Amino acid sequence: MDERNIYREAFSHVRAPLSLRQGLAELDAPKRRLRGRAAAVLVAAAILTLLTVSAAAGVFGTEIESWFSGHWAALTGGDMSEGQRQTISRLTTPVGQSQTADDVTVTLDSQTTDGENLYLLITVKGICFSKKEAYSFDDVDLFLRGAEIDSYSFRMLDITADGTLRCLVDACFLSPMEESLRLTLRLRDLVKGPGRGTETVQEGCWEFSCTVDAPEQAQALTCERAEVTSYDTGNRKVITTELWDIRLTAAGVSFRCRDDILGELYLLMKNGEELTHAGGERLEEDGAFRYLYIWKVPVDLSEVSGIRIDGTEIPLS
Amino acid sequence: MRERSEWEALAEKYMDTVYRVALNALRQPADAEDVTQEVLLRLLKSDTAFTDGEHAKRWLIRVTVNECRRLQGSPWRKCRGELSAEAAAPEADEQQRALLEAVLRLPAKYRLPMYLYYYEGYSVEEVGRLLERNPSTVQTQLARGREQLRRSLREE
Repeated sequence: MDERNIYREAFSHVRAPLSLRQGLAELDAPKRRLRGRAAAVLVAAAILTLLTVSAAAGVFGTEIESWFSGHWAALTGGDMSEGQRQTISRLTTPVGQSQTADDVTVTLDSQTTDGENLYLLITVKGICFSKKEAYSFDDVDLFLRGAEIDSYSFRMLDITADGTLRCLVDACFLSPMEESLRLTLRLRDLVKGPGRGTETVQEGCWEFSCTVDAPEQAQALTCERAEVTSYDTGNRKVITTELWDIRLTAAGVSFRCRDDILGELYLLMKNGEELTHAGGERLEEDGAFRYLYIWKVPVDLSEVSGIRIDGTEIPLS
Repeated sequence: MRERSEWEALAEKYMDTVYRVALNALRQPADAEDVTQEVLLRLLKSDTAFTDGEHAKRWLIRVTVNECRRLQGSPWRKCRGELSAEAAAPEADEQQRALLEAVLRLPAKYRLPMYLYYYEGYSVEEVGRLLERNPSTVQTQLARGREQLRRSLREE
């Protein structure tokens, strides 16, 4: 077979998904994107490996506190400080709402928020999960009344020793919470396998509603302006540019920049640890760019020294 | 802003092309879907007057390639996984999926020139213009991509 025929055969059934075609009429008003959706399923196997190590870490408090603790140990090789444990505990509120479809029970276990970022822990029980598989839901919809978000991510965390599947939803708010907000999370069809076209494990719809209260002591480290050297994706060259409104909270960081920069961002701890983020957003606003990132694990701000973007350290106070 | 009726006709006609170009660039169906949506939105918002269908198609390919580059360099794209031909072409038979996996497993720099040349039928010069590469570079990439594809299919 020559190359032309190979290509003809290979792409003969590759078409834009039906969902996209059907959604053509709504394309000018796209719904909120689920950040890293398929990727979340695909990365789960790697996370599982990581968590095999972290499972040995100390267990305390709620499920999410236990998971954050284990994840911190896996990322840094050390235990969390007492201050960090207390911070996570202070930001976390148990929810404990369960819904069952056939034999599968999904629980919205808890919410963790610093008033600017949100983590939701989801647990799933009722079927025998294979540690070799990556699980997700075919549709994950997060609605928030009282706070604006641009996108959110869903990812599988692990399968616990008792066979419970644990997953995490995270989102960055576009502005700090000023009052309680109403959250609705809708999960549809439990699936396994990589990418789209995954195999449905259990059909069903699990929906949860709860109130998210702003933490009593919203704290932030800030820096009015800083200069960084980074790669400008618009002009495709390394530039020195200015960031402003840099604001770091227990669960994330945000800043603005007039350029579309592509830099490696690290959270710098006073003990010398450097940690990457769990994902983020880049939004265009008023001719500039706004960047929001969420941390992999919430931190105690008294232990944070600043951030680093590529080679530039930005101290925060 | 483009006329809705014109946009719908163009979107319907070239959506699959945009999706396939994005799939070649990114290899992940979900990412290709996101890019397709973004490119079609840009088509809607664009005022570019096309002289004919081919003009529109080239514009869409160029915008898709740029959008894929933007996404590939973006930290917001959280992670990538293994290629799944099944997810990309659920209706394909086993042989078609094997071929799709083979062509999508080619190194990134060969995938788009190979696809545009062999599937879309563009000349070396046209591929060069669409991808902003020298025709001589495209020629070399086609030769090397061809060689790798043959080797990969022989091994299977």
